[in-house]
Amino acid sequence: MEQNVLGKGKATASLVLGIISVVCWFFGYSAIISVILGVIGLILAGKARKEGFEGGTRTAGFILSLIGLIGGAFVFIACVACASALATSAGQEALASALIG
Amino acid sequence: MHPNFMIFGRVVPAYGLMTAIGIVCVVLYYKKFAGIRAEYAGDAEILCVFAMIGTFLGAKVLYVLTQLPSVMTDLPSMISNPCSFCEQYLSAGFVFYGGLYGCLTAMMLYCRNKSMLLKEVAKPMLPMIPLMHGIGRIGCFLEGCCYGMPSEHFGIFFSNSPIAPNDIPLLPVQLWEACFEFLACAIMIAACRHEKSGRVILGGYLLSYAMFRFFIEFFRYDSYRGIIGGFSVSQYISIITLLFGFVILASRHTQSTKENIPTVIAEIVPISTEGSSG
Repeated sequence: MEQNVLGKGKATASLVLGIISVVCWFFGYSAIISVILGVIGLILAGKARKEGFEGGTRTAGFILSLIGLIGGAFVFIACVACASALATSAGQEALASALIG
Repeated sequence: MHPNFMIFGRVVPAYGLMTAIGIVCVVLYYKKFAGIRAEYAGDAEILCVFAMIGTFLGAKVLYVLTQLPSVMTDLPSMISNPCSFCEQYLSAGFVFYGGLYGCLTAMMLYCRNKSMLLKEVAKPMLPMIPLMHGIGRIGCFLEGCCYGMPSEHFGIFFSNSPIAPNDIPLLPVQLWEACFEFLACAIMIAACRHEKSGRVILGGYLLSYAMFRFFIEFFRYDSYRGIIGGFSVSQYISIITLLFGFVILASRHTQSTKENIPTVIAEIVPISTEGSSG
C-alpha cells in the first residue's frame, strides 16, 4: 500500500503538467511552453514508475505530456541543417543559369 | 516537394510532422518491443527524455556553430528584435551529428556509474538513433532541404519547396540516407536481439554511418551547410566519427582481453606449482 502512495504525487503532477502542456499548444508561440512542460511531465511520470506507482493517473500524465511535447515539435521544429533564410532566391537563380549554360 | 500539410485546418510543417511521427515510433518501440525489464521501465522513460533533450541541444548547438559568423552579425538583434532572432536561429536549423553526440552524451550522463542501466536501458535505445534520423530525412525530402546535385537522369523535381531550387531535377540524397538509416536500424535491432555488446552495436553504426555520410556528401549541393577546403563540415565530422567508432570497437576488444586474464593466469599457475614441488 505504501508503494502505491509512493510516486502518486509525481504521477499527479505529471498529469497536471500534461494537461497544461496540451492546452498551451493551441496558442501559437506558447508551444515552447508545451515542450518544456511536456519534458518535465514525462520525467515525473518516469520517476513515479521508478517508485512503483503504476496507476491510470501516471499513464494519462505520460501520454498527455508526450502529446504536448509533440505538439510543440510541430510548431518549432522546421527542418534539419537548413536555414531557409540562407537559401536565397539569388542562389536558386545562379543554379538555374549554371544548368542552362 | 510537400513542405506543409493541412491537419484539422492548421498548417503543419512537414518536418515537424515527421519529427512527431519519429518520436511516436521511438516511444512505441521502446515500450513495447525493446524487451526492457519491468524494474527498468521507469529509467527507460526518463532516458528517452534525456536522449531527446540531448539530441535537440546538440543538433542546435552544432548548427549555431556552423552559422557563427551570421550569428555574431545578428547578435544585437537578439535584444532589439528577439522574436526575429529566435525565429531565424532557434526554430529552424539542426545538424544530425550534433544531435547524435548530444544524444550519446545525455545517455552516458544518465547512465554514468551504472553499468546495468547501460546494458538494460541504453543499449536497446541505440537502434532508435538511425530510426529517428531516417524518418527525419524523409521530412527533409518533403521540405526540400539538404538537397542533392542536379541530375537530368536520376533527379526528382521539387515544385513547392521554400529551400530547394524548384523545377530542377535534383538527386534525392535525403531518401538514400533514409534507406541507409532504416537498414542500419534493422541490423541494430537484430544485433540487440542476439545479445551483441552495446559497444559493438554503437561502434559498428558509427563506422558505417561515417563512411556512408562522407561518401554521400559529394552528392549534396546545398552549399549553405558549410564548405571548408573543398570538404563539407559533415565530412570532417565523419572522419572524427570514423576514428571514434574504431576506438569504441577497440575498447570492446581490450575489455574482452582483460576479462580473459584471470583464465590465462589460472592456466599458468598449476604448471608453476608442479615445477616448484619437484
